[in-house]
Amino acid sequence: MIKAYVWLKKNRLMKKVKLYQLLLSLTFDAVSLFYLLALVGYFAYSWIQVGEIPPFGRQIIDAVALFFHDVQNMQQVFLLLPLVYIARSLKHPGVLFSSSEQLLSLLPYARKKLWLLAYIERTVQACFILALVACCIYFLVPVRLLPLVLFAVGIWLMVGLLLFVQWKLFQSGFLWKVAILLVLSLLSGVYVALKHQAVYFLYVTVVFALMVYSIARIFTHIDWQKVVNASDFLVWNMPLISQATKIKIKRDKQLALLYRFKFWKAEFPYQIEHAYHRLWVIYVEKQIGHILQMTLALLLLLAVVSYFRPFYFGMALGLAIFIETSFLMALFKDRLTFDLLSVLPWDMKALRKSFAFVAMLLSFVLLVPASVYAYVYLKQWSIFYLVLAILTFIIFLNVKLDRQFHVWDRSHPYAQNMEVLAYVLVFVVMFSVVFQWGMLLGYVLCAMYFYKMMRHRAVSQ
Amino acid sequence: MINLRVEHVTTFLDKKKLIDNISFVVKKGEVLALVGHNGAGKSTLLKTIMNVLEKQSGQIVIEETYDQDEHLLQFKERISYLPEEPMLLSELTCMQHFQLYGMSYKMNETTFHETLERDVKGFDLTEKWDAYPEQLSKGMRQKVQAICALLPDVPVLLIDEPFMGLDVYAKAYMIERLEEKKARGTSIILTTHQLELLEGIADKYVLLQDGKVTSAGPIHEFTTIKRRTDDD
Repeated sequence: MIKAYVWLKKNRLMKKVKLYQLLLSLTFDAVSLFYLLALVGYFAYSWIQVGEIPPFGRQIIDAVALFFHDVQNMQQVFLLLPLVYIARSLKHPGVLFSSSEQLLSLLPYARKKLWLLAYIERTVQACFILALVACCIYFLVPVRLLPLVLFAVGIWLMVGLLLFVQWKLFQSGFLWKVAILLVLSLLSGVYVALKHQAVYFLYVTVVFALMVYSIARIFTHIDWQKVVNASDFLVWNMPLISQATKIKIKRDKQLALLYRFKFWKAEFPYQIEHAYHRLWVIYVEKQIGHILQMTLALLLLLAVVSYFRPFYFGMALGLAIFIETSFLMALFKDRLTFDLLSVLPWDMKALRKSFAFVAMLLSFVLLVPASVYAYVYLKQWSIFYLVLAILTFIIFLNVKLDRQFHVWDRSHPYAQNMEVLAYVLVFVVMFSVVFQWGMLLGYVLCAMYFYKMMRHRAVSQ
Repeated sequence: MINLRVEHVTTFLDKKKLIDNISFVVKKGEVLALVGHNGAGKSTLLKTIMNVLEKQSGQIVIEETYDQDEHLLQFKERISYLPEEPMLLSELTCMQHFQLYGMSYKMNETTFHETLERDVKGFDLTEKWDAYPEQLSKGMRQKVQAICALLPDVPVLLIDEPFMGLDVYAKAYMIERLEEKKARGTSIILTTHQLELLEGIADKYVLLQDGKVTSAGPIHEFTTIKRRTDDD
């Protein structure tokens, strides 16, 4: 079994090394790698030649020396360690048991023994890291060997025991983990504040009880699939590779706490708008990374570019309206043409209404820098300018929605001149910071658009 | 009356021709069995009809009026799809899925509840209404998806492997519902490897091979699918 386990680990390592080699060869060519190494070598050589530790390094060495001078500091590390491992149990099982190990367990190898091997691997790993750190400390910092070794061994033993706690707590519900974490944080906080030995004793008792409980029931009620999913993510999530390939390895989705509440699981009132609202909430939650990136980029655009001149502010705002509406439309199309929604009929009226609400909510934050600059550059006209910008945003988004609906259904009314009007409005927003009379033209165009819309609504009714 | 007309449809995926110039019609209340080997293009054809995959050329029309290219919104209102693999959203409960289907197809609330109650009982899915798909077994998820697709009364129903993952009672109920839909005038296109279950339901067949129609006709004329390695 050990042979098969080592073979598995070796192959996994080889695969990872190959991936990193590929990344290296794609990122650097041989010449630039040579120069990079030469530069690093030059700095290392000069540092050794000078023989002096830079001031920042000296500060770290002094702090480490001071830490080992006082036993109480070391005691506090032991106080902190259980909290770290309990917090880690929220997402990390402690002992990695991935789908490869699971596959081995289907062959004639006992799962418990495989787990034990994985556990031993983790503790050996921890021992190696601790020994390395201890060696560095011993050679760089003036500390005595015995307390350092005792401290390292103490931490290693503690880690070994806490891995059981982490493993067991990983299986528990979120609320349990948080409750235990809170109780222990409270106890350690009280101890640090009062330095009362009874509190320390109580803290140690709770941690000890957790350890005993975890070891005694190490394989009871274990959701192995949950462990496998989390382990697969932890083993194969390589941020550098993900960054380079743009392929993100996703953690096995655990539904957020919200999804467990009864009101969230309750039936919708029987109107499609309610379902659409929920679908948008779910979608925004899934796309929050992209949404934040875009919002941040536009906020930066508005805040930085607008700083220089009023004209630049107008340009930035016009551009922001164009980019934001295009981005929102991309989200809209993606939502409807992906997963379950792609095969369902769409109620366009309800969709437009629910999406407009989401769009306004997502874009609202852009009003903050826009309002500040509008006031700085336009003073009493700023309110008229902001209202015009908001109307332009609404009209632009509506025109784009109409065009998309027309693509999906030729009978949906769409007038190209309204799209031209929307583009003109964006230009009006751009230039009316400098030429304020342009605002009047903008309001006339808005009135034309809304008149046309109302007329169309009256006709269709 | 013709409920679905598929004319000269060709679909590409990554420059590979998956569906090659396929044409057929399905009349009101008719059941068409799409048969063929794995990879023959059956599921791809259903996805093309559903507009999940974009076709390169050809025309797909429902009730001789609603063209997939010209009136996609009305087209979608008239077609329901049961995919081979459940397409459920992990963030909605079973009941919320049923409601989403009912409301999307503009089902009357009373009809929705009546139909749902019957289907839930028929597929033996009671007490799982507020569960999320991840909390269900694969078979249960398949049942939820089946109920969703069977809820609306639409002119065209597409089913990809209708009996996949269903237990014996659920299979019997599925056949009962298909017969009922057929009697009401729904045109059904289904793909299956369990042809014996379709006896008495299917009216005609279309045999696909490498994305092309190799033979078609009334179901009683269908004998068997040749092994790929057999000589022509």
